[in-house]
Amino acid sequence: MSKRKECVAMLLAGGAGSRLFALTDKNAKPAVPFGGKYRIIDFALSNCVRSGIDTVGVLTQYRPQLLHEYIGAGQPWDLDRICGGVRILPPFSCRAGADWYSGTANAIYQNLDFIEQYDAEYVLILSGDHIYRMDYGKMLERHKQSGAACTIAAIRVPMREASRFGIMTLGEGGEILRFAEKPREPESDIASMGVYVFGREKLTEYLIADAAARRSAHDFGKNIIPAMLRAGEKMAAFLFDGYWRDVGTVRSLWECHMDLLGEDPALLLPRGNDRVLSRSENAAPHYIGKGAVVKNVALTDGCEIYGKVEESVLGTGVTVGAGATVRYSVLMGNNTVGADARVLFTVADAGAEIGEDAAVGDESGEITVLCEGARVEIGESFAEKGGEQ
Amino acid sequence: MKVAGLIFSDMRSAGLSELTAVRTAAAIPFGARYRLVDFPLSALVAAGISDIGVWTRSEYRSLIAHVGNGKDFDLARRNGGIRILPPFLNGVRGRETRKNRVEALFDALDFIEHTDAETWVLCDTDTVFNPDIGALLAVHEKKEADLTMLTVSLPVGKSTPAVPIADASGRLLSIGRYAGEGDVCTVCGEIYAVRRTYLCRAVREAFERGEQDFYRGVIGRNLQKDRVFVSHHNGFSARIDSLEAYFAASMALLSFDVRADLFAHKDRPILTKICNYPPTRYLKTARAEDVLCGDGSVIAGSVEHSIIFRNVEIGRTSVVRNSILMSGTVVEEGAVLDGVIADKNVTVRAGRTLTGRADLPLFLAKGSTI
Repeated sequence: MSKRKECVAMLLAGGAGSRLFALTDKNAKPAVPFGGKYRIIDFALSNCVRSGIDTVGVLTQYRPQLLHEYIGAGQPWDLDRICGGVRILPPFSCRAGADWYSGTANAIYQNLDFIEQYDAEYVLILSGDHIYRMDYGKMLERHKQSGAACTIAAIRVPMREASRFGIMTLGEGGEILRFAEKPREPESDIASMGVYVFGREKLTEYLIADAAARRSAHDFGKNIIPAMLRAGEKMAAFLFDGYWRDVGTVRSLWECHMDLLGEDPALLLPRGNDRVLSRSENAAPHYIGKGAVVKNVALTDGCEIYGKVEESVLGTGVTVGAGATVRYSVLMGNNTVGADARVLFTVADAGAEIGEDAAVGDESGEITVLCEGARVEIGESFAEKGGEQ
Repeated sequence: MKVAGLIFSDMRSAGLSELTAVRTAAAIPFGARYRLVDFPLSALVAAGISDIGVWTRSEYRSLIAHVGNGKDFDLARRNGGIRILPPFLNGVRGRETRKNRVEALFDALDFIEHTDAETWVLCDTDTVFNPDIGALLAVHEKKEADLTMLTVSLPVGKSTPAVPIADASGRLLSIGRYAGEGDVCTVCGEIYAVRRTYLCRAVREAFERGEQDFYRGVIGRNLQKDRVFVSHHNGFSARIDSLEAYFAASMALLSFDVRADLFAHKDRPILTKICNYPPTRYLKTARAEDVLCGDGSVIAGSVEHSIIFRNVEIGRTSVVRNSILMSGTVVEEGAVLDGVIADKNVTVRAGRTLTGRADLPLFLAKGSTI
């Protein structure tokens, strides 16, 4: 079997995600639970598989244990392949010494060998911390047609939020004229999604040059893209009009969960063959008890609901006791909400427990975070806000 | 002690003609996300058995689709793993020799003899329970038994079950037929741990004599000499031998204790095919009470005392009560269902009213539009 792959994906999954506060204390951001039965990285991995990309290098660094275990041999995504499949690429040592990945570009630079062994013509760079469903195949097609050195996936964002993103100014043919990473005064509302297609040779050339540059942050948005633009390379944007969210903050993570709800959800997870794939926990079906209320809720296996749950997303194995109320909250999995407890505007990480008659969160509009395995004792109140809201 | 497993589909499915019209009994959907084969299969896997054959008679496509290569049951193995044993159609081993368990076992002898396990666990697929096969094997080994039969307590149904009679040490004295006393009786759970040499010899002899009955022809033939023991399963069990029994066993899952007994054993999870459906969504208009539900459904109407499988849609202002809706069922707006079993991919058109009863559930055939 030929080892050659037309396109290899490199998934950046090493960031600390510090703005997610307690949710990433012990866990890399791509492994943060999402949507009741997923982890954030499931979206990028499922996109790859759906786009016909079967070779994915996952670059890990920060707190990778859970992420490594979760990805395993790639079975849930059909990425356990004879040739290719998913490969975990952690930092390593060699004769010349050992380096952590010092930036997104450096991480790829250190793994150029991995890409070369597949003799890939194109390299797709992804980040493991965005929620979106996209066919990378279409983007790759456009890249080939345009003859660009690099194609960047782009999406329109609200102007007031534009300074959080890499912002592009486009020419009439969709070519990128200017690119500014997190500009204070953005020129446009077209943001980079952190998804890039490069010709492998061009990418290699610029990564080698960047590795030698002393003052570089070795970052795609800050260094590689600007360097290519300065050199006059043809850079194209691929406008994406679907749902895309950077769930980098507690607030955005919570909002993204709320987008799963409603009659016509902004983030509709398909039930057809293009479903998002994930590693399943094999729990029993969920049960809604007598006297329970579930309205505008997403529930998954292992949940046992005896209380009132509204406008919330509950992960695998969540129990809500009789008389308890859960509203506008995200309980990520294996949480217990005791009888008569009240949970409001809260994001509870896996295993967090809320005792009987306890009160968590409030109506202030800010999101309360309960970290992994936390316990709010019987009758206690807890509304500590954390992270960037 | 190396152990292998053999699961028999369709051993006694005569009473399930509606549910088995399009599938072998092992593949009957049950409990919102399972199929009947998941229960014995998971029990075997939990006992560390990784060499498993599934013997089938006919209509086994959905079984193959469900089990696949065994990936979701941790049985995709280089050595052993899971193997479906479909029928041979012609000759000595043809269809006509697969009528009863003696013939089925005779048919499976080559599989049994070519696997290097000294002990075999034989299971049927018509009992819903979570047996501890490890414990059964421990009894089997301790007693140095030829055959150890798992017994269960079952409510007395339509059929007259085989009733094993044992002495205080658990040694089987005789097998009788249920004599009609009491509501619950101890019957054979149709799971056996058996020594391979004994099994092969007894089956071969019974087949040559033309025996029809497994109890009389094999197990009970020489109880003075053969070491045959019983081991009792303490816990929920339900025999699925009629549509009415299927309905009752399904509804039993709405009891917390039954769910705990079947699903809460951390070391004996019930495995099933992973479908990756998204979480089930309950919309603003939804009302749900006493409902067991799988993933991927969208509930906008009212559901009560029902089992809802994966990927079901219940439209606004519709009412579903005392019903079982299998995967792919669509209940359009304003329909009312009470006492209904909808097989897979049934569509109930807007405004229809369909009523059955617990003892006579209204069955809607797979793929039908009402």
